[in-house]
Amino acid sequence: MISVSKLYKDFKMVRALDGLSLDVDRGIFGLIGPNGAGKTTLIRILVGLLRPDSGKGQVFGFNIKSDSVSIRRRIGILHEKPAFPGNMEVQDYLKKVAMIYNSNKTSEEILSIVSLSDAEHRKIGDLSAGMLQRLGIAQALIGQPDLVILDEPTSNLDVSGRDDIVSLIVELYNEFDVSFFISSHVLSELERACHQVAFIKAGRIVELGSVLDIIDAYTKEVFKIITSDSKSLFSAISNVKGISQPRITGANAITIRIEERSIEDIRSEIEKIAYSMGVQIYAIEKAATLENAYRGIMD
Amino acid sequence: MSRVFQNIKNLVQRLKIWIELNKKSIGGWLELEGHISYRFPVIESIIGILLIITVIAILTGSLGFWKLTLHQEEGNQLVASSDDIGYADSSPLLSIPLSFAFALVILIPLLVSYTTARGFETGTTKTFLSYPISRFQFLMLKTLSGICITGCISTLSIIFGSFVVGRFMTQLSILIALLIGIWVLIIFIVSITTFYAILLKNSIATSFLGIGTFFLGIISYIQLIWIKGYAYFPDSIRGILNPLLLVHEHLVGLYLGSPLLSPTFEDVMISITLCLIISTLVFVLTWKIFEHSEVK
Repeated sequence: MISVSKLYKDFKMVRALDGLSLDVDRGIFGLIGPNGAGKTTLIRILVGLLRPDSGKGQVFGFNIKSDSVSIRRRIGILHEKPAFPGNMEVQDYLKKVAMIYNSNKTSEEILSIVSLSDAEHRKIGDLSAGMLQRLGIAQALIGQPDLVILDEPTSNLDVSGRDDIVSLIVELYNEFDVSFFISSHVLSELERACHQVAFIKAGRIVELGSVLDIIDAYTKEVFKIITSDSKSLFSAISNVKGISQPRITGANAITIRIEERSIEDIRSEIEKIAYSMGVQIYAIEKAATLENAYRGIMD
Repeated sequence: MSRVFQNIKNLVQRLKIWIELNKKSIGGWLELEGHISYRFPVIESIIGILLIITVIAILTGSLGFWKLTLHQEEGNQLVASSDDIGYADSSPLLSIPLSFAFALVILIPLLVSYTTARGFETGTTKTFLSYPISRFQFLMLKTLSGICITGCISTLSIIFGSFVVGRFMTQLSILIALLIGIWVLIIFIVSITTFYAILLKNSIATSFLGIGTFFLGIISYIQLIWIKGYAYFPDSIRGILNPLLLVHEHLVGLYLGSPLLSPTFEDVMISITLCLIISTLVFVLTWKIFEHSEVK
C-alpha cells in the first residue's frame, strides 16, 4: 500500500527525515515516535504537501513526487491541526468535499457513521474538540478512500473522546475495510487499534512489526509492581541483584526489568523487603504494553 | 494546415472530456472557495451599495441630469463640467463610476490575496491541497475567481454609475471599451497580488506589499508624467500600468475629436496586449513558485 525508500528531508538546520524506508500493508498501521521525530513530515510527503530532498516512494503504486493528485483521490486525511471553514455548516462542508472527490456518499451517511448526525446543521466553528475530530474523520471518509491517514487524531481529546475515536477506527476497518495510517504518540490507543506499528526516531524507522510481536520482544523481562508505597519501595529495591532500570511509573506502580535471575526469585525477595518495610504488594505482573516496548526501543 | 486543425480539434475534445470529468469536482471547490474568500456579506454589501446609488440616482431624478460636457483648457488638461450644476472635475470624465470601479479594482484583489495568504497561515490551504486538487487547479481557480468577482462588480459599478452621470455612458461602444480596459487592469492587478500571496504566504506582508505597490505605482506614474510630461512616455508603455486610464484618454480624444492629444487606438491595443502578456508571465511564474513550494 505504502512503500518509501531512503527519504531525506531537511528544514534549514534540522534533518526531519534521515534516509527513512518503510513498507506498509493494508490494515491499521501506527507510526510511533516522539515530537519532532518526523511523523508529520512523512505524512505530508506522502500526500504531496512537501517534497522529499531525495529518495523515492509510492502509495498504491503512484509516485509520491509526480502523482500526488492520484494518490489523494484514493486517500482521506485528517491533519494534526485541521483547519475547516468555521462559518460553514457541517453538512454543507461535507457536501462540497464529496463533490471534490466525485463521491456518491452522502453527508448524512458519513455523519451517521461518525455519530455526528445531530450536528449536521451546526456551524463548524461552534463544534467541540471531539466533534471537530469526528468531522475530520468524516471529511476523510467521504471520498470513499482505501486509506485514511490520521495525524494525531486524538490530540486535544478527553479520555472518553479518545476511546470513541479508537473504537470508530477499528469499527470502520472491520465494517468497511478502510485501512488506516495513524501517527500518534499516545501509545495506549495505538496498542488497541493497530495491527502493525513502526517506531520512528530522528527521521529513521528503528523498529517495525506487528504490535503483539513487538510487545512480546521488548517486554519479556519487564514487570510491574503494584504497591501501596512506590516511593519507599523503589529506594529499597533499586540495589537488588537482577533488577535493572527500575522506574516509578505511577503513585502505586514501579516498573522493573529483570536480568540473570528468575522472576520467582526476585518476586520473593521483593515481597520480603516490602514486608519488612510494612509496604503492601498487590501484584507483580508482566508489563506487556506498547509503552514499555517503546522505552525498550527508544532508550 | 489540416494537421493543425486536427490538433486543435483533439485539444478541444480533451478539454471537453477533462471538464466533463472534473466539473463536479471544480464546482465543489468553487463553492468552497466562495464560502471562504467571499463569504456573506462581502460581495452582497458592495452590490448593495451600487444598487443604493442607482436607486438614489433614479429617485432624485439625477438620472442623466449631470450632462457632462468636455472642453480643453490651456495645455493638455481635459476637463469635464456640467452645464446644470456648474460642476467641474479635473479628472477628464466619468469620475464617479470610474473612481468607484477603480477603488474596487484595487481593494477586491487585495482582499482576495489577503485571504489566499491567510489560507497558508490558518491551514485551510493545507486542508484543500490534501483533497484531489492539483496545485495548478487551485491557483487557477483562485486567480480566476478573483478576476471574475472583481470584474463583475466593477462592471456593475460602471453600469450603475452610468445612470448617475448620464449621457456619455449611454453610448454602448464607450461602455464596452471602458469595460475592456477595466477587465485588463483587473487581470494585471490580480496576477500581481496573487503572486505576492503565493510568494510570501503571509497575509499581513501580502497586504502591505500590495498596497505599497499600488501607491508606488501611482506615485511613480504621476511623478513621471508630471516631471517628464506625457510625451516622455510612449502611451503604449504607460498604458501597461493602467490600461483603463489609457482607454479612458483614448475615448476622451475621440469624444473631443482631438486625437492628437490622446492615445491612438493602436497604442491602446499594444498596451492591452502587453499588459495581458505580462499578467500571463506573472501567473506562470506564480504557478512555478507554487508548484515547488511547500505547504506546511
